[in-house]
Amino acid sequence: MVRLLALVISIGLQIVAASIALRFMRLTKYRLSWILLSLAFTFMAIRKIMHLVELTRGEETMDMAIIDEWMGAFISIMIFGGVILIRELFLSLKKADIDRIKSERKVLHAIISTEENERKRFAKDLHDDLGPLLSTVKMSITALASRANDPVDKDIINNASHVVNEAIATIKDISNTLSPHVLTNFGLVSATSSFIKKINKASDIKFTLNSDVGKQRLNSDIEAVIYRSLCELINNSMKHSGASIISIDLNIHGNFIILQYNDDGKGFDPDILESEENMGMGLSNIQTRVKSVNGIFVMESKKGEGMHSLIKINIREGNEVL
Amino acid sequence: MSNIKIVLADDHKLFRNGLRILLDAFEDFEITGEAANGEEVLNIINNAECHIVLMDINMPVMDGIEATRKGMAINPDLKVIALSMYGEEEYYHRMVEVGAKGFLLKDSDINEVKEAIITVYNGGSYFSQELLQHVIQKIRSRETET
Repeated sequence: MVRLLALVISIGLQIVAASIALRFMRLTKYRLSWILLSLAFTFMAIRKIMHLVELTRGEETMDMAIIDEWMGAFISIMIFGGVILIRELFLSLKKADIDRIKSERKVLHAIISTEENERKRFAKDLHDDLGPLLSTVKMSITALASRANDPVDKDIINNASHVVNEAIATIKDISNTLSPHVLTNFGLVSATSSFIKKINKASDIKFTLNSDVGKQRLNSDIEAVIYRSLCELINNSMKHSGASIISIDLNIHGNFIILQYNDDGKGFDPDILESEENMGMGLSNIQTRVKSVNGIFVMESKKGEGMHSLIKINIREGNEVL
Repeated sequence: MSNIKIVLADDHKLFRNGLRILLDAFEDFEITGEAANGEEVLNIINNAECHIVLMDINMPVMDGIEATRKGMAINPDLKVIALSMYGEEEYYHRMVEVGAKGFLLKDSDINEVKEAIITVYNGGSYFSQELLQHVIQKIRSRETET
């Protein structure tokens, strides 16, 4: 009776295990290792059912005993083969993981570079197509101004000229914010110092920019990522930190371009940045952009001790990795 | 004074048209050619007499910087005045390097354009007020740093 109970329990459990294993076969894309293991479970259940039949019949034939032993051997072979082959299954899972990360980065890179190209096109259309038209209007108006004798006419013309001037300045501004033409035409260092110059007109922050990049041009995606990140960092420092000195070091070390950014502002508690929501759009934007070119972005701060961050991107890595 | 022969180089036809009408209105100026890119400029100065080229920087096929460099090689007496949408120092550095005698922004007063043409024609150089202010500002900020 005790033997019967033990048999029933093990048959039940083995049938459940076998059906679960069979269901996993599809998930593992019918890999041989898993098929072997699932079959082994199934045969183990069948073997136990045979034991049960024998027990209830109460007779044991010699033939059945031989079949039983061979079935045991067969199951052992299947388990042995399955365990040896399962390594491949784990490896393929790991590879799938790596592939997923790679394709995620590819998608990210495609999104960001499409956005950057669209901005560039839009900025160029505005600046190069609409700009000269307004300039022609401006020149024509100034030509009229020198011909007009009536003081009211002169006033009207001067006002029109003033308005056109504003329109031209606005277009330049919008176009430059969308995509700085200095970055496109002259590279990272020129664009950075041009950006700093613009800020310096309106604020007292003292900037130091050290760079050994010079006129060297990098992959335009990497240039755009660094430039946008830098602008974001500067905007953050100006908005939140109350910094009076910002230092920017942009250098090439071997295969990497490294941006080191420091401000002497009031700093912040780095724990706040742990969660994504608190990180703010600006910083997570940097994170995403840097990730899209397979780079690293680190940020450090303590209350009262300013902020330091570092961006490191491989510039020799071929495009196939991006 | 004999007429100053001027070539307009800009890829925007509307801009060239506007400028031509305005410059034609001045007595001593004569527009002898229009070019939509750098190569066309070189063709014109190879085949016709020309004193001044008003040169856009961003043009298709060959840009204004390259056209100025090659034009100066063809005719060292050629006087190029850059006429650009861009006022950043990188642009005028480049243009001055390749031999431009003047640099104007496209949103200049037409009288400034006239003055620049006359000054450069007479052997001088002319830079728009806005650019000169940039340069002065830069020198000043250097002085305060040191």
